Amino acid sequence: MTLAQQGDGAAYAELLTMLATTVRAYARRRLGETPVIDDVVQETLLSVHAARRSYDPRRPFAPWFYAILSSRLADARRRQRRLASRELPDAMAPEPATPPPVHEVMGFDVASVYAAVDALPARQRAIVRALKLRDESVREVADRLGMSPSAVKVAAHRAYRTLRRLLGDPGR
Amino acid sequence: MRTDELIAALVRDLRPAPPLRSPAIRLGHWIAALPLLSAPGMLAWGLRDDVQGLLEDRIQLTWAAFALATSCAAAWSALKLAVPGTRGVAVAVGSSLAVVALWIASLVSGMNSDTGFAEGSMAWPYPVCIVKVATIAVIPAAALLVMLRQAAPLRTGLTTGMAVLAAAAVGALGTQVACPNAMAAHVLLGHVGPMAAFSILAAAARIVALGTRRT
Repeated sequence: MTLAQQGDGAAYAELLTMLATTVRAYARRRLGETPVIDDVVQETLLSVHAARRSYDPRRPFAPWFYAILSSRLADARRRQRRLASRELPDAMAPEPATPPPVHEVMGFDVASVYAAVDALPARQRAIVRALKLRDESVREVADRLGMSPSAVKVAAHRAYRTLRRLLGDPGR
Repeated sequence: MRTDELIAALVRDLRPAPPLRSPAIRLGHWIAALPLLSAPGMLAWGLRDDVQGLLEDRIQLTWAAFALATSCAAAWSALKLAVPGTRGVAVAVGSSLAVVALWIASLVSGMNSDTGFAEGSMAWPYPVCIVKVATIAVIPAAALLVMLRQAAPLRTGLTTGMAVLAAAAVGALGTQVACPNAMAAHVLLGHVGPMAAFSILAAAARIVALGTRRT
């Protein structure tokens, strides 16, 4: 961490990789096998990155790091509890509707949707795929593509307009 | 985003980030800057006519000492809270609250010797004094919150509460010097009461974390 504070990228990459492994194992022990493990790992790494100036090289690294990790685990537990409180018991869940055939969703022919997405300019195509197919957040897409979140939203809006023009109303 | 992609992005974003100075040194900086930070508020309200009398009154000086001690202890707690894994945070927070409790106890016991209490004369400048506490405290609070945001407050509510308590205690001290009403009941309800209320409201709003990526 001391090297990272001095701007040493290689040392920082090594540290973060090691921390990711540590967090994953620690979070598994504390939370069990849940889908939120990856979130905890990534949020902890983001927090370490944001907090790196607060680390004092004269003091041991572990208490500093585990305080951050504990805080992120507490967040994850709160999130899990919130989600659990919102989930309906099976008996109360509504009957699932008959799923639409895979070749047609919401009145659109799936193949034509894919073709229309393929026809978009490269950047808009990447954004639509990330937001709608991989379910990434605007912030994640912006970080990955090196754009601002607003620019991502604008590009996505233009892409949706183009898709509407290309596809027309469903069933028409 | 996959974790390896995130690590690559964080490494790309890496810039030299020299470690922050210790909480003790940063507390020293804040205390040293306090006269300057609270000067605009004090200039806006001016001093009470009998400042000399205040300096000669042992009870008034005791309350002023409690205000200063509260401010230092609460700022110390906030700065320690903003460094993950620091030891002694519970002691620091406990000490701050203990000083406030002693201050309040001293004011409550001082109410016995208040004159004019029954006539209600202690009540008149309450709203003005709430504004005085706020205006004198606002710049010290902003400075301390900026210092805290440079670090990594994990318990944002408690950190904010302690920071605003530190600044509002400065506000209460300044108000004591500016306000002509020196009765214990007035100081308790008009100066210390708003200080506590501001701290609790700020803690609930967690303002130290507003507009930042959470640490």
